[in-house]
Amino acid sequence: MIQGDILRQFYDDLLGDVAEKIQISPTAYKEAVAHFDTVAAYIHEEMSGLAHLDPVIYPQGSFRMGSTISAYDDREDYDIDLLLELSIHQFSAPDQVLALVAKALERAKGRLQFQSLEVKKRCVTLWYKNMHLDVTPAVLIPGRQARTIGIFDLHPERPDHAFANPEGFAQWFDGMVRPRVVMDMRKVHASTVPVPQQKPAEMKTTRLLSVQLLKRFRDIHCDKHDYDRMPSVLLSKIAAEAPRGRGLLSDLRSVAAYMAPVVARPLHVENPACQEDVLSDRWPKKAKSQRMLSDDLNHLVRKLDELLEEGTQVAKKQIIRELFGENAAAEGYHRASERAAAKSREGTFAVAAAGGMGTAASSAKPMVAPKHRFFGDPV
Amino acid sequence: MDGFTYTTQFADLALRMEDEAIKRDFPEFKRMPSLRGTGVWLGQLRPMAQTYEVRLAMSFGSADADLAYPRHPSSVRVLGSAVRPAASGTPVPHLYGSWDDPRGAHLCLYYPPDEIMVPGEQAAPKLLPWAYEWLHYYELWLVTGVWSGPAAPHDLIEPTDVVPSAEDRPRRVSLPRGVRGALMRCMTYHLNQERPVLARSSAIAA
Repeated sequence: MIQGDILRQFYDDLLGDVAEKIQISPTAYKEAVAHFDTVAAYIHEEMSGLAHLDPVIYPQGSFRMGSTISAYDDREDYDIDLLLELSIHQFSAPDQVLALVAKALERAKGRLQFQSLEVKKRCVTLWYKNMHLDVTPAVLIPGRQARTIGIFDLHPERPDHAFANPEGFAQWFDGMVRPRVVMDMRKVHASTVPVPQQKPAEMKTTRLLSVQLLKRFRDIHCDKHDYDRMPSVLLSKIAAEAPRGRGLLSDLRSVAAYMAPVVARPLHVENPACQEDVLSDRWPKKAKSQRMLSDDLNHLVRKLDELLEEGTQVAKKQIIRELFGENAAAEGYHRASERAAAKSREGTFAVAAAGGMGTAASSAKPMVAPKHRFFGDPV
Repeated sequence: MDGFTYTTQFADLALRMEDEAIKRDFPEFKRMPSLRGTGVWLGQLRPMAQTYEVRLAMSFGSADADLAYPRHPSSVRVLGSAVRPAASGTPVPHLYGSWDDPRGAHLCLYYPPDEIMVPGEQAAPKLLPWAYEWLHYYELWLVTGVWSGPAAPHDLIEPTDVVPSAEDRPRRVSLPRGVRGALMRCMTYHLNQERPVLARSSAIAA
């Protein structure tokens, strides 16, 4: 193992810890699932007034794909997207469908425990203390790929009754980023109704973590440079198609380097599971956003390269902080310290070949530092 | 004085063993010209972000019929003020003396009562890997403010182990513990049988 490998491993682990830090917290996740379960149980009951419409409710978007991240300022306001399929006419008036769902949910305000309800252009939002559930009514379109739906949209500039297939997209995304064993598990669930599953960060694939890190990077830099955020579904589609890298650092760099020129060009990105579902139809709102995101992605590539170059650790931490936020960087380094300490305690602390000065041609081999204690008062 | 005075022949042999091991495991380190019975190596270590110039020195304490050579605890120093306090001003932990010692920052690598340091088998298997590890923890300490590596507190050492030295007086210093292993006692005994060593004072006087 030459120095580059040890360094890459260090930053792979560090970025993994940063990714762990930006996951939705287990408590918030359990809360989200509890809210989902309560809403799902309620709409199947007669008193909801929806039961006769054969409702099917399931998560979509980041929550479904396992790529939900926390806000970089640690403000808790998770966005949980749910799809509510109803057996209604495909061309029902959107305002009436939304009103029907809103009325049904409002009726059970005490039971569902939401603080307030808001009717938006294509969904009904239930606001909770630290999250909100967007319930999007839809109708299943027969004769199409499974779970292709029609959306009811009040937005004047978007087509009403547009086709979409978020579950089909999620399954395509799973196939691109998830290990086969997870895919098999999901297929069993998908035969009934898809349910959210939380995987700890260490069980997520490298590409899924790259997508989450990229979303965190996007959130910080869009706010910093004041341009509109590329929607997560669009980002996930492009990122999933990037060439693979070996290790998280390399994979994230590969995704950023692939995306930078793609997002600078005119975009027309379709949902692989539904041709009519154009994922790029809501972005960018401002023309400059594409160029600015492209510039930021190139910046990300440069900064990731700098991590491996000669410099001070203080400067490296500054890079991590600038890319992914203060708290995530602090947590990453804290865990890196704990990991190193555990290795020293076990007598397995790895020393790079030739003390980190070796080359591929060097005959020196990596070694392990014998167990010992540094002398002196710990600070 | 704790420990033994070796024959210069034995000390040179032990230093050659150290040098061979260093050449094998840390080939960037080069041995510098020095007194007999003394070894000095200069080289570089890069545990993570930064490359550090490092000086390793060891003098086992030896004598022959004409001269006695000094004994110093093996030391690993980081040169060029590359080791410095945190931006907050917090002093660097686990150093003997000051970080800005003109001879280089002297690293506290081990708790002396824990270790038996055998001449000929110190540098490559222990001192340089520990120096690498020390620098790894130092870089993390700079950004976290916490030394997370395993550490023995100074309070553990007994007062009798506090040895004033001309070099570092009056700080507490760490001397390698005298070799009391049966094997080395035996080797020293046999070497001395072949070539007896005069008492140090008389050798210097001569």
